[in-house]
Amino acid sequence: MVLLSPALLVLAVVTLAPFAFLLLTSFTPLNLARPGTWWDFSRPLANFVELPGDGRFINSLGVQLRLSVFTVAAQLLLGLGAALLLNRDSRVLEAIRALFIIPMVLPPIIVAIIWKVLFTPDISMLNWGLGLLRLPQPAWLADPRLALPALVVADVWEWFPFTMLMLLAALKMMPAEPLEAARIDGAGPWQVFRHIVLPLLRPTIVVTVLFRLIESVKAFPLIFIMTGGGPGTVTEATNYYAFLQGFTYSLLGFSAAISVVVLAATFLVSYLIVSWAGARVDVE
Amino acid sequence: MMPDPRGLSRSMTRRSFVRTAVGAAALALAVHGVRRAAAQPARAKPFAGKTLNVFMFDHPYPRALKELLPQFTELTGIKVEIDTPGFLVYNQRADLELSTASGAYDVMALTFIFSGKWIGAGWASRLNDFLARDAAVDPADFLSGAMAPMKSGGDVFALPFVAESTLMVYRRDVFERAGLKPPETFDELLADAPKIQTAEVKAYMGRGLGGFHWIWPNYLFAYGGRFFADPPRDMTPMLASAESVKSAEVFGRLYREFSVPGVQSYAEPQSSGGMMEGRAAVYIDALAWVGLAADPAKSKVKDRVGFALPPGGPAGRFPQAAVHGLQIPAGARQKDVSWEFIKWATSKEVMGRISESVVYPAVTRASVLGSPAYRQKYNWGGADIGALHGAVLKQAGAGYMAYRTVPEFPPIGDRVSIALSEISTGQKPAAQAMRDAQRDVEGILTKAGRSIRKS
Repeated sequence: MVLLSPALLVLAVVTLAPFAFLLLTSFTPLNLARPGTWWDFSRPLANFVELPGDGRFINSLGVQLRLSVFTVAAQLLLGLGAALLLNRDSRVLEAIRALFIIPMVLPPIIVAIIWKVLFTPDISMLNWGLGLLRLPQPAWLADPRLALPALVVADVWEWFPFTMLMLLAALKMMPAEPLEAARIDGAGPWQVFRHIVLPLLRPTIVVTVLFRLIESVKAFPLIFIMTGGGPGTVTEATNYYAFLQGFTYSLLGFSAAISVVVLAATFLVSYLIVSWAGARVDVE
Repeated sequence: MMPDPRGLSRSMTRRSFVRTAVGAAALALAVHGVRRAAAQPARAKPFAGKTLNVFMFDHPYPRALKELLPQFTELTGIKVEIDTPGFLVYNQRADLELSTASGAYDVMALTFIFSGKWIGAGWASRLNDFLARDAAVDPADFLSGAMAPMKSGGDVFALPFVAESTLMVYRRDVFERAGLKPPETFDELLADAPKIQTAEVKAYMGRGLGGFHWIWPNYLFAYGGRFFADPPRDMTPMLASAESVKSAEVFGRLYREFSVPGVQSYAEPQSSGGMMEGRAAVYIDALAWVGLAADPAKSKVKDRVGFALPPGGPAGRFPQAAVHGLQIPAGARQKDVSWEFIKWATSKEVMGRISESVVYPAVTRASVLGSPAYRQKYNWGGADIGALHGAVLKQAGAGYMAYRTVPEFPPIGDRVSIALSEISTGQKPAAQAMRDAQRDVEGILTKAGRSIRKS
């Protein structure tokens, strides 16, 4: 225990203390413009009771769910496809792999600006290309049907290299013997992939999905720069709504309550995924 | 004369003594003079060597101030750093900074719609004592409509650097080609829009994102609508009235049907940039932004634009105004130094210089507004911009702007912008969007402890 003390102290200071402060704040009606609300615990659950009736909060949960599901699914598919294509020993492929990583290492604000420019009709090369092909040139970020998909595209572009790297590493470490044996037995490429590669990749896929799911809840820079939560509230994800409540309306207590709910939901979903994946491995 | 046994004669000793004494006295005087000369700059620059951190939002005025900073430093010896994020980002950060009183910034902008909240929370310092000892500031020279939001009771909390009167800039050539006059009412604007619009030049330009609630009130009041019944006494929201809905419908149609694609996501620099590029026939916004259409250096349509008051409606014309100032945060640690910057940045000289050197007509001082240099420069397309600007501020000072400085306005304005965004992008019909906004605004006011009549 004595040997663990330094680590526990760091954990307490870096992780637990801020979380404890967040939790305490969520039990108050803290409003920065009204100092009397700082430590008012007279109605500790008032913020949480208010949340289910807050239409904008409920809407933000739906937006967050759609954003997370579509971005994670697309990153997984694209990352897996790229990993399979790059899973060869070749200097050319190694160079291409390095280029693929570029979006991931860019600061998120830069990514947001790049895609804001690409999606602004007047200056968009994308729309210019669509115009050359005589296709419609939508106002991506101002169209309520396209604003969220536009965010998904930007997010996937930024983070699919992460899933690619994770899966590529797993592919590189995969034992060759089962694959060779399957091919010798006459299995085709799709059968090899479906019955051997994919099951062996499952643990890595679970970890990757978990990482990306947790990160998807933090998709703030893209929303802030590209859409501001609009048009209307179609891209107002829960973390962005929490930000508005806290830093535009100064209602830090309510903002903290939203953050606690999001944190709890993230923990729950992560636990469910890990449990499900663990159960599948046990069965196999 | 017999030589002195010490090598000196008595007369030479006396001469030498006098010579020496005079020389010493002259040397002492010279040294004293040098010291005095060295001391004078130190007394004239009592804050020399200090550094000021100034926080303002991106705007033509602080951009111009940054160019003039070397002069301020030479004058006072004070070094200044000005941080200018975008308007929305500024307001969010400023709110947090002021509430913590961290003292990170010595001077900050006082945003119009936050003035009630920030002053009411005690986050801005009183400037009365500074004004009393610095008669040269001449606070009476500030336009009364510009000073009103900077005060609470008899106390002054900021000095205004920009008075954003809402004006309309229009393409004279486009209207002449269509055989039309610039619209006097919003109904006329809507009726003219299909007649003046082409593929290259859309009828209308405006700001989008969270900025809808700055421009829509020009429409709202013109159609007889109101934000609240009688602010600040009766804060019952009136957003779902027939008049408010009508104004939102007209507003939304102009964005949806008669503007550039994607305008609903435009910030002010994009909107004014679009107007400068010749993308629209009419642009209604704050003077500092519409004025750029006449910028000789940047605007492609500078010789083809005219300026007028924004249109009116059945209830009359109610051009909106917003005033932003410079304040000393309550947590600032060197308030005397902060004051030196504020009085310089809002002085007649600096404001006059800025309005002469760049396109900046949105001044707050009567002496600058009435100066021959201003009147000559800001005569665009035959319009006397100073007269228009002064007329808006005078009318806005009559009281209909009171809704904007209530402490609860920021989240209400945000919620109204969401409704207008939904209308302008076709997500909801105006009646439904405004009904939903009415309900949510009632919730905001009730949560803030206001007693209102619910719909």
